[in-house]
Amino acid sequence: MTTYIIRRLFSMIIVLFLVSVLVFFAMRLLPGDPILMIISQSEQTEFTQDQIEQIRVEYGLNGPLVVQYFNWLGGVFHGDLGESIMQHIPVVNEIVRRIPITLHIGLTAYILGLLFGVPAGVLCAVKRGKPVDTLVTSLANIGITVPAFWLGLMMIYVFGLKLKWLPVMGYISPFDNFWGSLQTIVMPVFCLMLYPVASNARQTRSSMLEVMRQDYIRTAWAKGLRERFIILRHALKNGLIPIITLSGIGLSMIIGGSVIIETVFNIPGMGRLAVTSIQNQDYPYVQGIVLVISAVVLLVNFLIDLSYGWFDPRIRYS
Amino acid sequence: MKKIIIFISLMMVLITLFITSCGTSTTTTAAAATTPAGTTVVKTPTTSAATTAAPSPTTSAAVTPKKGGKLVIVTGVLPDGIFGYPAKVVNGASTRISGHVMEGLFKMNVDSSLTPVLATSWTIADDKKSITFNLRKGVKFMDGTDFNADAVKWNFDTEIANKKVPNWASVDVIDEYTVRVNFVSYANTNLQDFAGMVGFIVSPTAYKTNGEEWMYTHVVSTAAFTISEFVRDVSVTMVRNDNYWQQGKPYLDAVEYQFIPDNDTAWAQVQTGKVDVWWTNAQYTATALKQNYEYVGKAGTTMCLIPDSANPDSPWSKLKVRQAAEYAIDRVAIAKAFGYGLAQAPYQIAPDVSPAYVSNLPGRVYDAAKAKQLLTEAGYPDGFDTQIICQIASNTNKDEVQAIQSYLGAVGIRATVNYYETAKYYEYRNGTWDNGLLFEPIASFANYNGTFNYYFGRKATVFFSLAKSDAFLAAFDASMASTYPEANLLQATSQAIYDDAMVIPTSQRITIWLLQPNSAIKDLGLETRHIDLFFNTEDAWFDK
Repeated sequence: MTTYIIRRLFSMIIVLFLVSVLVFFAMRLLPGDPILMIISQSEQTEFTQDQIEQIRVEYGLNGPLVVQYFNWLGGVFHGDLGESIMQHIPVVNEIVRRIPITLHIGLTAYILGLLFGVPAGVLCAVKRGKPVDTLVTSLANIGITVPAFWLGLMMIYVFGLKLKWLPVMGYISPFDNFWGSLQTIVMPVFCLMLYPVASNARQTRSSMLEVMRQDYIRTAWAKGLRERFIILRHALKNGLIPIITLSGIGLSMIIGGSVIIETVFNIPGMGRLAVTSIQNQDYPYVQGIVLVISAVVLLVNFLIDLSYGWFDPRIRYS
Repeated sequence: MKKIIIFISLMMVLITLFITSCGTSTTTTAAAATTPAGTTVVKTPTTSAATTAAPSPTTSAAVTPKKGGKLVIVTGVLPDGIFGYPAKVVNGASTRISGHVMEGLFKMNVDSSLTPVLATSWTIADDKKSITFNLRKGVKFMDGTDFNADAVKWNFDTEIANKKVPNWASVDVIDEYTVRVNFVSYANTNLQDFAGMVGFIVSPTAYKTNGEEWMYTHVVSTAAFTISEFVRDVSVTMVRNDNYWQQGKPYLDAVEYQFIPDNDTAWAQVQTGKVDVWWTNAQYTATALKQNYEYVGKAGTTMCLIPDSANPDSPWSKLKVRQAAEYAIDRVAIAKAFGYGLAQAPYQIAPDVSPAYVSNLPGRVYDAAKAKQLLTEAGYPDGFDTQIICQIASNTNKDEVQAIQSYLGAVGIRATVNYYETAKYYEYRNGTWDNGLLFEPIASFANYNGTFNYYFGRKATVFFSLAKSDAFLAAFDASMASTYPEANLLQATSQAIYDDAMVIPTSQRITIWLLQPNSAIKDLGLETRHIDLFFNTEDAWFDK
């Protein structure tokens, strides 16, 4: 087990390194020059070539790309992800400020996706062929197909403008105002959790149906065990492996979905920052955000892989 | 199963249509308190350069402004968070914020006139090598230190050291309240510097005590407001300076900017009634006007097609080809279709509120037959292939570009439209391009020489593929050299651009400040300040 963990951690570092190289060079291969954008947005009407070069030197964009990359990488090992070209602030400060916001909404959606999706899937499997199975499966299909941004705008219109139950945008930290925070995250969390609920329900149903056909389940029935015990103790536990795998992928999709949701609901999270950074070719921000997100996704998937051993004792790592 | 899914999907579509139709009014109401486009600017009396009068409230004597209230403004642009140290403010969005919390020696109005602020008068030397300011006495910075010539010198020296003002050579203190700025060279655009970001004055003591980075988000100036809270990409709140030097002002308690980049979300927020002003575009205004919203609009930016006329191999190097393109485009139809009743058809780059506007210019009004004739005379009887280079941005209306493409195509100019992300587009804009037209917004500076200089001047850093005629350069040099911007010289320069068909104006962009129905906000001064960057928050008040 220890060997496995070390091996996985080592491979994670390799993956992060490759991701950083890919993002670094890909951003610089994109057409355009962020320095030109800076001077074009400036109120100053004249810029000499010397001034433009001076700005390039200030931002460390004048040397060979390989040198720039290793300068940046050296900073990463010291916790310095560089300074934003557009905002002139340390990237790590802004990421640290925004990541709790994205995690708050994203993890809430993720957990609710499991809490609602898995029981829904179990219900469908147990009541297979019945009206409740048809209804839940149909709703799950809708949940998978509905675009999040459309749903967000509809919810803003209905709950924010017409009914005036919820604020149309913004974010409040739960530590500042818990009730206010709850009101601001209801709609974005709902939009973000819809897909995970739907996909978890479908996968759980499929997985449960597979497991419930097994001989040991038939034996359990024959033994006269209670239905709830059979479903939860035997069937669900054995059917969780694909669901857990899917949830790891679901987390990545939630991070991607947060880009849209944060834009629609004007939430100052990592997703929105990623969009504006890419549009502005703010290299340090893009590199930092991608690195952090990659690390989070890798870590979560690693923990998910480790959890297989708990759910299925037959799985052992060496 | 399939039938159920189809049924539910259809129900969703119907519900959506029902909900959205519930939200729109079926009656069209007249816009309240508005005037047609091009005449929405309220001109204020111009002040002479040597005036010693202090700024006075713009309200009539019979109306006493009421105190109190917080003005909430929504904008889609995101500031970079550097507000309080003028030498380092670069971002346009931050400049807007800074305009509320800092002051300069004078302010420039939309008609290029100057209003004294921290200077009571000024004199430009006969040889134009310097300008001497007499400073206002009794003004203090927010930290209690005195505003005086030493403070001005320190501020201007930092601008010079940071190479923000290439035309300034040095600054001399004559006495405690007299300061002289020496020029490397004079152009009347130098005056715009004093009215803009580089001319804003902050407390040197605050800088020396707290350091440069502290100054980025802390404002210690002489202005009516200071920043109390900045939440990056969310909002910035400015509170009143109770020791403001203009007695009795400001009237508002606070001003808050909310940053909402997505227009749909911003419109939703406006409809909650929690917003007083929305800095938006004509498209949303047209929707809002049906719901009794008010607005103040000002023609500012003119969308133009910029040809690569400096390229001798390009068809656009020929005058008759450029003239043909002008005749080919029906700008009245474009204004009607995409200006939402707020824009006029432009036949020159300056908007009609600018002193550079030539009122008797006939314009190359839509005439497709004449366009074809000109193309034939230019040696292109069968037309030619070209491209229109566009930026993917809010200013680029794709439908409008398509309309332009169609108009050009109808006379034989077969244009492929290429859209680029901002960074790539700027490579063309700040560089060169081949056989094509850039679709570019030409912003109006209050001193229109600033526009001429920035886009077409001898040291312009944009449009390197654009040829500038000798007649234009001569007119431009004369217009820049006058002590103050002069309408006849500005108009001569506009005329030269028109005569050479240097650029092809296609449409106007109206800067809109949308106000709530029956808005109680008064005297924002949006109409009179230089273009859309600043407005007079020290004069604004709520009539309730």
